[in-house]
Amino acid sequence: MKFVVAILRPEQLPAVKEELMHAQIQQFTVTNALGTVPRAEQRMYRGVEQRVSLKQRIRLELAVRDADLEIALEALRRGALEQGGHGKVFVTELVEVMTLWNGERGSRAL
Amino acid sequence: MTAIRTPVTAPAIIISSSVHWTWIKEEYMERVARLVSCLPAGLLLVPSAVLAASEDAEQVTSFNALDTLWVLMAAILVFFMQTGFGMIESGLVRAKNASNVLMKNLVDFSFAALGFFAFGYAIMFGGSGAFVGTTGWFLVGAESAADGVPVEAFWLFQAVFAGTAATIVSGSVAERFKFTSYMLVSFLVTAFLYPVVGHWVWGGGWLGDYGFHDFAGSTVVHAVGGSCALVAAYLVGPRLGRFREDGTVAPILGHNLPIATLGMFILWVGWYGFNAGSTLGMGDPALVARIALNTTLAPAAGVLTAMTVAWVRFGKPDLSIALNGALGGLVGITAPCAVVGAGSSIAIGVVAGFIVVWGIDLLNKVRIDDPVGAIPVHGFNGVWGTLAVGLFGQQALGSPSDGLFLGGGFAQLGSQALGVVACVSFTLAAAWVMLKAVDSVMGLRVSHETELKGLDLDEHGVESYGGFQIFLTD
Repeated sequence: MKFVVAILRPEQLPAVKEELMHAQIQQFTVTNALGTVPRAEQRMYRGVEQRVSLKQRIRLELAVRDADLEIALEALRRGALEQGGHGKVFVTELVEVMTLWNGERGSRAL
Repeated sequence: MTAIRTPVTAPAIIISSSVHWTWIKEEYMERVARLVSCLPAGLLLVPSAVLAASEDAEQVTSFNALDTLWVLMAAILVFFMQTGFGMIESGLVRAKNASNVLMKNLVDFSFAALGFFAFGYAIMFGGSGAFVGTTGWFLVGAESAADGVPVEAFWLFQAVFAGTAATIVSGSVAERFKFTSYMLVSFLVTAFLYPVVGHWVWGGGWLGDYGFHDFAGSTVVHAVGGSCALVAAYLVGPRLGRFREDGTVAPILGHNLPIATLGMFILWVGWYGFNAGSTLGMGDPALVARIALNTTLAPAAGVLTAMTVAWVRFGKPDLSIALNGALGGLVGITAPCAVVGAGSSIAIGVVAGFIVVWGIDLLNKVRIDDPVGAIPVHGFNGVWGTLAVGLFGQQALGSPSDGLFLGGGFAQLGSQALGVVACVSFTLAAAWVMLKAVDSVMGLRVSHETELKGLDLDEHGVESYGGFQIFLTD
């Protein structure tokens, strides 16, 4: 099993969600996050320079069977490319999963 | 013996004609007696004198219903401005200090009501002494300065003005001023400091003899409030992290611009009571209408000017500066609203818009931290509006003499300058002494720890947005 964390821009979420659903990956979690930017953006607030070095991002997490990893990554990429393709995806080994209500373990729980 | 027309409690009245209302003597006497008896013993020095005086009191007084209605309605509009101040100030501070600034707005008005009842009104309107009034403490024996309007209505109108002057301070010292010290300061301002200046200008004091014209209070309310705000912001020091070691200024973002914008609109609405209500009656509908027009044009010009100046200088039309532009225009038109034409109002608003942006810049340069722009809006534009009478004022509309731009020479401008310099320097000095005294007794500023955690939590034990996730950005 693999655990996938994607850091995306908020505007990418609708298309990414659509592609994941389309690929039959229907369980994932989304949270608001802040991410660094390569170069701080200059803004002005009440005549004072504001350097914005953290911008709003979303963090999308999902767990998949090994065989489904490529499908998930492709779906993420297709969705993200619709809005410029910014962002990164991190994949790690997933040691265990448990569904709380019935206690199922492992890939059967996914 | 001076006629006593008015007890503190609501008068019992009968309608004797369509407009003239008459007191019932017995009811009147009973209410005076009840008032005196329910005050703590020793609090008042005057009850026996009052009872004696009431024996000779004028028993029938005529009031004008329309004028009274107008003054009460205007007072209620001006009272609503407290909401406006609360909203704009809480919107322009960080979420962790929103409740604290609202609490200050609520409490300073409450002190204004009680302080202006007990002492303020007497100092401001109690007789024609050169520097202070001395009669009518606790409104006992107080008289209305508006013809045909009961003293209670006139008092209310004046009390909400005192509250406005006081609440200006809460914005400039937001996010670091200690709550207890703020309470004491707002009591002192509304009970003593503001009424002294008010007496000089509106209460029959010395400035009235010099042809000084401040129709609705650019000086009396706004320059006084702005001066207190300046001294307080200077003495309490900037918010932590506002001014960096390298000389640059850190932006500290307001957390709710929609609420701040609502606050600005509420203030603008309230200003129709503030300016047009200062006619104290509907005797001259054309005057009231002209003031309402001017009170619309100047802030509109202020918004567009401040927005444009900020756009050109900083790259984007900044909402919070545009809000300040509206308020700057409103403060600017407050003194001259009755005696200038529509074109002049627009010119006054345009200059006010420039002053707002320039003032925000200036304070950043001299390292005075004013989170909401109260000092440029009320202080600097209060001075500007007062001087504008000397530039644009028309004798034909009621100004003591024609202004400089109407061929009247420098006479009126000189009177205006004298008045505003006198009032502002007195206020700066008095506020300095007052705040230094409060500082030495109880301190002005919260601890660093409290400031970092937010004043809501440490000073009041609440979260303004319990249950909401505050999304921090940087």
